[in-house]
Amino acid sequence: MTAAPEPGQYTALTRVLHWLTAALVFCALFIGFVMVNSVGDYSTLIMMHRTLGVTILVVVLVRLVNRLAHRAPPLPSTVGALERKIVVLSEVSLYALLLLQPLIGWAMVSAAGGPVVVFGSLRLPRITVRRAVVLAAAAGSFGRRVCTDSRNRRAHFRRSAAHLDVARPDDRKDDIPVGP
Amino acid sequence: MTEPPQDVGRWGTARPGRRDVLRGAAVVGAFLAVDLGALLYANKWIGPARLTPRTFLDGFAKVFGRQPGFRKNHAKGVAVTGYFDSNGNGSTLSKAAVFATGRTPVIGRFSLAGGNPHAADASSTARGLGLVFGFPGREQWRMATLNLPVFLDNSPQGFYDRLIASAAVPGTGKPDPTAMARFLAAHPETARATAIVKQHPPTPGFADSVYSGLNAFYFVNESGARAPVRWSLSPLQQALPPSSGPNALFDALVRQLRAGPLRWRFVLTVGAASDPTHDATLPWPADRRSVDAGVLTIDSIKTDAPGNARDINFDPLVLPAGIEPSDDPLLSARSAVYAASYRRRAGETGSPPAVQVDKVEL
Repeated sequence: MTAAPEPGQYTALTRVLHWLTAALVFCALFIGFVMVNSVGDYSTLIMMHRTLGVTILVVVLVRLVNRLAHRAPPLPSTVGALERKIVVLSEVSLYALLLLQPLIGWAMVSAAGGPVVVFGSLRLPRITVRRAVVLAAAAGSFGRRVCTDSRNRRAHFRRSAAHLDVARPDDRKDDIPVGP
Repeated sequence: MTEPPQDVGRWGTARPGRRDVLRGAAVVGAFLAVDLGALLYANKWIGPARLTPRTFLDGFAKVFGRQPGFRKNHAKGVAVTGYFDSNGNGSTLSKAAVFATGRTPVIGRFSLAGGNPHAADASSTARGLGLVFGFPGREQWRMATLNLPVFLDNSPQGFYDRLIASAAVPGTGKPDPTAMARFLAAHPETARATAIVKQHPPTPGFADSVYSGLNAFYFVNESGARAPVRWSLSPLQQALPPSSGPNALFDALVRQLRAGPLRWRFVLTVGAASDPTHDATLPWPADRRSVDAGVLTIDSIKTDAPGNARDINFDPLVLPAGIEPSDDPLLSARSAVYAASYRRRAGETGSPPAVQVDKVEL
């Protein structure tokens, strides 16, 4: 991890986080499909699915900070202007979806009215969909601040991260409070 | 996850070689093939036939007809509310907040087993009482209880096979006796449980029925001691005699609740280490220690409607800290099938429920 990456290469930490996310997302997806078709293993699988979702959320937050703190290798010269836009859009979408998907799952379990239990017995607070979006936006704007503080920021990503910054101070006022 | 595997992290090559492109395509193709295979297997389109929650829902539809908008089992019911007054005795067994001395709000639903929401009340139909303690808090306890001393099945497959065997034959309106005989021969546990149920004939009404949780759970107290526990609700009143008509049992319940609250004693039965926890068809010996944990009071009754107990999934695995699932395979199965039933009915538009509380005459 400490070795400086060769030019044109992502850092080792970035690559580890990327493939860790990939493995976690694939497992969560597959377990999700098996889970909804299971009878005897349903309770075990749904716990694993929720636990993976929360783990993905944490990994993606770490990843977001890491991504904004490190310069990504420049795109090859053969990549055109439109393709560059698509690359940026797909990366921003990837981060937005990776943040939103676990949060929406969390909000869905919360909306069912029951406790949100992960890792076997850890009880999480309940969140609303609105709060999920606010949390994702907060993560985005936190990332942006890290980005601003970082020498390695890239202008195009800063612009893109601004799209995520949909949180407004008055968003919190009418947010439905979580249960007692 | 979708990043092309042929990307080795180096940019700048003007044009990748033909071999690199082929290798990349092969890796992506193999990855997608594994994905597709996994998806097909997960959805049970390939691989051995296995029971799925959908199998159960389709089974109920086959036996009782499609009943959009209603629970696929215990379709006919009525929503109630009340509270549980704990006397603190249960806290020796479980650290769950519900057993500390004090009052916990309760939402419930009385129901009759079966998937036909318009079936006429019959005293032989199993009566259910679904309960959720402390809704909508984080430390909720949900349960579905029955007026039976033991459950009739000890496996999801047994439940499904009994459901199919109990389908009414067109013409007679009764189950095919040979199908039921075949089922009982294949499932001796159900034959034994049925014999026990027959020794406990149903009471006249909902109000004087003993409702049992049937499946075993582990209770964990403050000091971490775990004990297998089953529970039941023992009525503290007689029931009004059933009235006439298709809602005879429900109408009597509505009238009785209009006159005043109904109460049940909450009794916890502590199993010994040797008692079966995985099989609710097997009764525990009668001399097991029981703990009177308090009194459940039901004081309000409403027609099944949006926002009340109609919209609660009485999932037996929604448990507070201090109550843990046992090794009973029916717990996971019930959790899975209830969730599937909930998802299905939530997407359907239903007709008005048969029991209209406000229309029951005095």
